Order: sequence, then structure tokens, then C-alpha cells
Amino acid sequence: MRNLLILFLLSSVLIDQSCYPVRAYRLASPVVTIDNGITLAFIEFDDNGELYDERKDANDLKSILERKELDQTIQKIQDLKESNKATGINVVVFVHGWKNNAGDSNNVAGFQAFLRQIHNSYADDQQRAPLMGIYIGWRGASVRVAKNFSYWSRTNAALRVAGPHMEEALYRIIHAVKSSQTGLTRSASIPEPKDSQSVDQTQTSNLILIGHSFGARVVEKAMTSYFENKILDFDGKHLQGCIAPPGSGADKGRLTKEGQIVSGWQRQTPDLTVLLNEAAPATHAKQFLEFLKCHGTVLLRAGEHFPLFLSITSDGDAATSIALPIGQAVARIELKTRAYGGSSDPPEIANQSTYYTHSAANIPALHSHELRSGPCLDGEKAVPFAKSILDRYSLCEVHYSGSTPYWNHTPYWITKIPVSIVPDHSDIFHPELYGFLSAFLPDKESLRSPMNPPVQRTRTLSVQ
Amino acid sequence: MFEAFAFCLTFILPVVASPMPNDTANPGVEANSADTGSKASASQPPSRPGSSYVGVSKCNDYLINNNDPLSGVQRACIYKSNLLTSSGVFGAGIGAGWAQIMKNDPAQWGRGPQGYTRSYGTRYAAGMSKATAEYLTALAFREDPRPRRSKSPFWFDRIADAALSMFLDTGQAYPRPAFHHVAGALASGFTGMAFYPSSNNTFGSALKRSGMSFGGSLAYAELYEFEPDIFRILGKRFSPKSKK
Repeated sequence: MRNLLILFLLSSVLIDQSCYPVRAYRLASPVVTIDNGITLAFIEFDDNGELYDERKDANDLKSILERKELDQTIQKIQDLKESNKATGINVVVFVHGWKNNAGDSNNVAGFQAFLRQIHNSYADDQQRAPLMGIYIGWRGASVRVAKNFSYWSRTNAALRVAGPHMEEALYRIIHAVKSSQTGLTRSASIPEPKDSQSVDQTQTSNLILIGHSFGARVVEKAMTSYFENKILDFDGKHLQGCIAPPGSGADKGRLTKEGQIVSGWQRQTPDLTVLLNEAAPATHAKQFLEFLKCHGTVLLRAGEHFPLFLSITSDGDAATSIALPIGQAVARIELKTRAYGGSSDPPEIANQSTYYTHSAANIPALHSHELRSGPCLDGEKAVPFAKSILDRYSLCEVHYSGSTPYWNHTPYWITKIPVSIVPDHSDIFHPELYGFLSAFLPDKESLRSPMNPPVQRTRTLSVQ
Repeated sequence: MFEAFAFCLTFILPVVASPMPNDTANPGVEANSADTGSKASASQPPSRPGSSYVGVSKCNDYLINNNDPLSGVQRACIYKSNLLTSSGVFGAGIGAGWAQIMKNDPAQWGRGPQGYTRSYGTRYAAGMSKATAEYLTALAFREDPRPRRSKSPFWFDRIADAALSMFLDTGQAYPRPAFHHVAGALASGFTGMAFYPSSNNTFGSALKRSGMSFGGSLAYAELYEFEPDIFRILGKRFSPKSKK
């Protein structure tokens, strides 16, 4: 009996200490300044995807609940914009992935180093815009031991986190950064700026949204709804059917006619949305790719094709190329999938289970681009602004052999990147990654010229 | 006795050694080792002098794995993390099982649970001795114990670089001799003399165990060097076929 009691107590201590608690790590000071004047903000979600609330007055149980981390972050964005009307601001949002959180996670340190790299790249620019990083935390790390067995638990948590609160947080950040107005919605606890109408209408603030691993799944899920709404809202497209129904082949023609410029897009979407080593089944991506093809959506920046989503996965990422198929194969036991029969599109993927058991970047048929060492192959078109990434790589549009056009020519770009840029799944914050992403970022001249927005978005229709 | 020792090594010690979770008033001191282990990358950005990281402890994996010189606290963190590793726990278990079932080695301990536990405890203790000797030697000679990947693109050079890393410390301004791997292997091999029965307690068998331990470190160095490439090739095997 005594031995059993000791065993029970030891087991309780072991279980308790081997789990990470469900709590916010940064509620006390969600917005801090790291060196070089870089601002770092934290927004945290619990295991059910809820933001952490806090009484405005801790001693008064009747005082209002405020979303302290989100509200202070939005307030900081507005303050920075207000005090930097000439240059605007640069904001980088990072949603971490598996085995991390907002505590003493290596992603917290890595993200700070990444922000410094961005800051240093503009170090010679006297008129540089202030830089702000927003770290979005959730319970990606649940246990301290046998972490790999938390795969199924954390992938489900990522789905819960990509709920209404996350969507609200991302959308408010987007509007706070990109809109010329001051914020989309405001908490009652935060006073309206006295002269909100005086904010420079032409200021050009830049927003980069990065999701990593399960965090990329969160970003993809939350932002897909946002993008779909924007696209359907444009020009009454919600009243029209597909201009290129899946499998019809009508979407395979090259773009020959530009549609009208959609004014205001640059104020409503992130300048770059990156899914890095995304650990998610391709089911969601496949549906959104079909949506984009169906509506013939194209995104242009300065006249060149530009990604709505940029999904990049390392060649050395074993977590998504090996572990995810194994994990999803187990999860598939409770799922019924169907064979597409003659309607499979792309034709190589004959069954839904392929999408469920692989991430989009690990299905070559969904790739839109190849990152080649050296110039593109004959017949391939290099992405003009990414012709010399890190002085040695070219980003090339994928072509099937022969005359068949590539399947994914949507603004959802999917490609693999070599281990020299990102070596594996977790080791991501390298100068090489920043070097790769910098090809997609506005240049310094654009940042200095608020009257000349760096990102000009155009939506064109695909015409056969 | 041995059962209790093995139990303590496996479960109690790591829990006791783990820092308690931090509170919100003092954020950033909770140990969250994430999943990178104690490895360093040659291309990690060195932080500039004077730069500080907000809300993270000195034992944060990212800070340990960058190119900055290791502090004493960080060396201790690496040591602590090496006391409990998945490969240590499962390696000792598999090794003890193999010795029991296939070789009945040592025969004096028998093939039952008690013999297995003694064998497991001995192997785990050897692993801890190895970690301790590596830590102390690296500390005494100011060696950098973090593994580094070769910068060469040629596979033969990479094999050689990984092998040389067993004897050379490339984490300094100039490569210099490193002793911690050899010291760790010797400690691992000779620790068994405190536990094994007399038939396995000769100088030769201890040296043999040291050699096997050193071989394990060498294999790990090679595996670490080629890990991204191995996963790249394996990953392609899992990908659906493409017409491209």
C-alpha cells in the first residue's frame, strides 16, 4: 500500500512536470523594445484558441475584460504609424509551430535575431521606417518528454487556434498596418486618437506574415477565408460561377488580358504571406488552389506576378516529408476519402487521401515554381524580381515536360527550397532565409517614397 | 538497489534538474528545449556584441546553438540536456535487451527483469559518465562541444570533416585539438568497471567499451553532418509521383 502511494505521488509529480501549463507567458508586458529600437509584441492564445483576457482593474471584478496583448499591440502599431507618417512602418508577424510557445522557446530568440537581420539590412538607410515584430504564441509545446508523440494533439490544437479569435487578431493587425484609418475595431478600453483623421492617407506601411510548421497551418486557415472574401467581393464575383471550372482545362491558357486595377488592395492584404515548412495536409491548399483557378485570380506587383501565399519547404524537412505522412496515415483511420475517378485535377492525384497524407509542398504536382541553382532551364520563365536570390538561385515557373502548361499558375506559390537556405524543419532563422525572402520585399527606394506605394496589386481575369 | 538507481536516473533526476515554469512577472526563464537538441549550425547568425534577447533565458536553444562563445551557464545547460536524451534512454534499453536476449551478457546477472534492470542501469550510468567527462574536459580546456556541419559541398570532405571533428575543435578562431570526445568515451567504457562482474571487468573489456562509445560518437557526427541530405532523399520517397 505504501509503495503504491509513493508510486502514485511520483507519477503525479512526473506527469505534472512533464506538461507545459496552459497560461499566457507575456501578459505582464506584451509590448517590449529590444535593442536598435525594434519593437516586439506578443499575442497569445490558449489551447482552445481563445485570447487571454484580463480585468482592466484586477481588484474590481466588475471592471471590463480587455484583450490586453492584442489591444496593446494594435495601439503600438497606431502609435508608431502616427509618429512616422513620412516613412510608415514595417511589421513582421510570426506564428510559431510545433514544440514552441511564447515562453522561453527557441523561436522567441530566433525571431528576435531575425528582426535584427531585417533591421541591419536597412542600417545604412537614414530614413528607414521603424520595425515591429509580432510573435503570435499558442500551446505548440504541450509536453517536455516524448514530444514527437504530441503530433496529433498539437495538430488538432492548431486547428482550434485558427478560429475566430485568431482571425480577429490577424485581421485587426492587417487593417491597423495597412489601412490609412486607425484600426478596424477598437476596444472600449483604448481611447480613440484625438486626430484620427489626420493620419496620412498615403503612408506605406509594410506587413509580412510568416507561419511556420503548424503555425503555417494556422495562417493558411485564417487567411484563406480572408482572401476568399476579398476575391469574391471584387466586382461581384460572388454572383458568377467559375470562369474556369476545375478539370475543364479552361484555366490552362496564359493570361492575355488584364482586368481593372483594384484600388485599395494594397491597404487590405499583407505584402507577403509566407507558409514556411507548413505542417498541414494539402486538403485545404487543394481547395483554395481550385478556388483561385476557378476565379482566375492573379496578383500583380509592379506588373509582375506576385504570390498571395508563398509556401516554401526545406528539402531537409523530415517533419513534413516523412513524419507528417506517417502521422496523417494514422489519423486517416477515422476519415473516409474518395477516389476522383476521371475528374482528378491535377491528373496525377487520383485519390483524396494523397492530399490528406501529404503537405502541399511535398506533392510535386502542386508546385508552381522551382528554385534552381543557376539560371532557369530552357523554356522556363524566371520570376523577374527573384532572378538572383542569394547570388546563385533563380526562381523558375514550373513546366511539365512537353507542351502541357503547369497546373498551379495561381498566386498560391508552392516550392521547395534547398538545405543551404533552411537546413531542416526547425532550424529556420538563418540569414539565408532572410536573403531568400528579401527578394519579395519592397526595396529601400520604395520605402522612402510614400507617394509611390511599393505594392501595387492588380486583379486580372484569365482569358483564353 | 539497481532498480531504484535505474528508476532515479531515468525519471526522477531529469524532473528534479528541470527548472520550474516561470511566472508572468519574470518571463523567459522556463526551459523549453523545443526540438533542436544541442546542435549548432555554422551559418547561424552571430549576435552582435551588446545585443540582448528579451524574455529568453541563457539556456534557450537558439542562443546555445548560435556561433557566440558559450557561457558557463550554457555549458551546464548542454550538460544537463545530455544527461537525459531520447537516444540515451532508448539506446540503453535496447542495448540492455540485446545483451540479455541475444548474448546473455553478463551471464552472472541472468535473463530476468532484475538482470535487465542492472544492465540498463549500468549502460545509462555509462552514458551519464560520458556526458560528465565531456562537460568537464570541454570546460577545462575551453573547448566548444557543439557539433558543426562542414562548409564544404563535397561529400568526401564532409565525411572527413565530421571525423576530424572528433579530434578538432572548429568552434574557435583557429581549429585546435579537442579532447572531450576521447575523454567521454574513456569515461563511458571504464565506468562499467564499477558495476560489471569480474569477467567483464578487465582493462581490455573497458577499452573495448570505450572504443564502442567513441564509435557511437563518430557515427553521430557523421549522421549529423548528412542528416539534411538523408532526410531530403527519404522525403522524396514519401512524395507522390509527378509527371514533371
